[in-house]
Amino acid sequence: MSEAQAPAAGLSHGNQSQAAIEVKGLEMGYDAFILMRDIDFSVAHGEIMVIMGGSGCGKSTLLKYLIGLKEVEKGEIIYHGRSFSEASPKEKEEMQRTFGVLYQGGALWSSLTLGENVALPLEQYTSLSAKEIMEIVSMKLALVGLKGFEEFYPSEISGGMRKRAGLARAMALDPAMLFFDEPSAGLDPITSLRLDELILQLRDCLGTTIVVVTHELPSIFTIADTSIFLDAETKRVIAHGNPRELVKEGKSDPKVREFLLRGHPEKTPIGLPK
Amino acid sequence: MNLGRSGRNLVLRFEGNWNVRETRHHEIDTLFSDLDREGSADALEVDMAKVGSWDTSLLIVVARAEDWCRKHRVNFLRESLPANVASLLAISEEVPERKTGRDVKKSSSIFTILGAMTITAIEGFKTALEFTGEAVLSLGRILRRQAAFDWRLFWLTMQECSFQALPIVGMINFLTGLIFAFVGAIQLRQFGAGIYVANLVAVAMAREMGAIMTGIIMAGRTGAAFAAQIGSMKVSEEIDALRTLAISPMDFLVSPRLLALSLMMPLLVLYADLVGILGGALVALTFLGISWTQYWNQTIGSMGLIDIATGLTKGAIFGVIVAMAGCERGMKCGNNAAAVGNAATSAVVLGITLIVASDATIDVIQEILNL
Repeated sequence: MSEAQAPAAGLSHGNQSQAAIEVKGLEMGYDAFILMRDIDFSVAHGEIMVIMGGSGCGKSTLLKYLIGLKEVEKGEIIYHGRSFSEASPKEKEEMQRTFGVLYQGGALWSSLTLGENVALPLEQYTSLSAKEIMEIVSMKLALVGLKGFEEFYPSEISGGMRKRAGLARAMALDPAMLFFDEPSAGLDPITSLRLDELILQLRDCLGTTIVVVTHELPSIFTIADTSIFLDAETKRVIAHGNPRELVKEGKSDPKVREFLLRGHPEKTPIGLPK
Repeated sequence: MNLGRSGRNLVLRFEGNWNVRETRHHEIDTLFSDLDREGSADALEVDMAKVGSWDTSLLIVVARAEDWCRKHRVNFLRESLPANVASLLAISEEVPERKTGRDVKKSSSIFTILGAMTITAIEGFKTALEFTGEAVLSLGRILRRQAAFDWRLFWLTMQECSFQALPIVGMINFLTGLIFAFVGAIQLRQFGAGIYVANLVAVAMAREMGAIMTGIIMAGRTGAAFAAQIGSMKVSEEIDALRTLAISPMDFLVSPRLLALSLMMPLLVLYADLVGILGGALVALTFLGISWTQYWNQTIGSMGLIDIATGLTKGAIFGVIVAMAGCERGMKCGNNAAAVGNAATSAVVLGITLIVASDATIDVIQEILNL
């Protein structure tokens, strides 16, 4: 029997020594209103970064900038050394094909079955045969625990299942980067934990770089390799690092500590194993 | 990718980069043909030492190989897989496949189809009757002041169904009167009876066309809007929220729309009649050389009160039909965006069909009663 060796996980996208995501001096806002300024951070290949902050601080808006749903007015977003914010529309589309996005409610197309939802990106961007696409769809749905649900419509399944099916669609093209907007919102603790485990597996097995917007503390402590904290008051990123480090006394702004300790600085953070 | 042997074991060797975007089905098909040819073995092991980058496409081939082993009673050596590949395969098998029965082919014989259509038609008729009954009960509650009637919605709908509808109703009916006058003028001029264009336009607009054209416009404009508004409220669980507060959606959402449209439709029809007559007058004045006084006197003389009353009554009935069709389709809407679109389309089709059918029925009754 030959020696089992671990192959290089996932597809290589650009130079692995470069950061997968770099954000420099990004300013976010709506019309004349500035929501957040001077955002700087980077995410290494195969790292999970969590964007944290209170409600309404602009976490989901930052995600929209990252995935190209909002135009960057000031600052720069760079993926694998290539500027995303200054790319031509064609280049931008090409880069967007290396993203997978899971929206809050799953955002499945209601007129298509789950199988068709997952198959659509494959039909659009690959030359695979219908049989091959069905095999991939089946595998993706199996990975999120929905094997056998290919023929169901989104309206026929629960909210948690819709979210998992949304993840299967986001993973359809085996993207180099996955973006999650509030993946645990509205899910029961067990389903939420399963989703966290799946996110970790995707990083470990496929080497996917993952950005997660969440304020669910158990998820933050379970999955985050690094994190940033957006502060609505100062309109700036006031912390950057591993949440397990940030939660320690004197390692970050008191606001971040209070957030991570759920408003009780004397308590043990929720989700952090003792 | 190739197949080899190591003693009694088959060895499946993977190499290179594996990308889901690039098809390798010829290579994979050849491999499985080789496996079939190789036949018996104690076990199948996997060698991934020469694999570069990989993704789901590799997992699928491994899963297929494992399936082949199961079918051919060959032991699949999972321990030969790299840890991360084995881990992802394990996740995909964590939840067993749900047998949903969705792939079972349904019978498509003509009798089954006819039966299903009949059942759907009967169910649809029953639902329409139930909805009508509920609307009548709701109106009773409103009259007894026992209903949570949304007055804001009532006034808003009145505005939407009256003032805001005037431009489109005016334009369509002006053109309808004009077309009628042209058709009549071509025929009547041959007999020197051009002046009777005024009679034709006046009676046609007052008895039929004013009400029908306005009904059709309102079905497309307001009926569809009712269905979409109520349908999207259903999708966002707003109707459930009303029910849990013990507020009848019929009283709160349907009755204000129903009353507003039924009250405004006769006024719209009256306006449509006048504008249609003006359209006819334009043709008479410009192409037939008839003076405005002659045309107006002829119009007044040709119309009876019964003609106007018929049109207004039809207008009120069509208003009820359009509002009921729109609201009923909205209330029966499914829980997704596509269902809202279907509800709006269906409200328009149902509204127009019922308008034409009820118009024909009223005409037959009038003929029998000599009205």
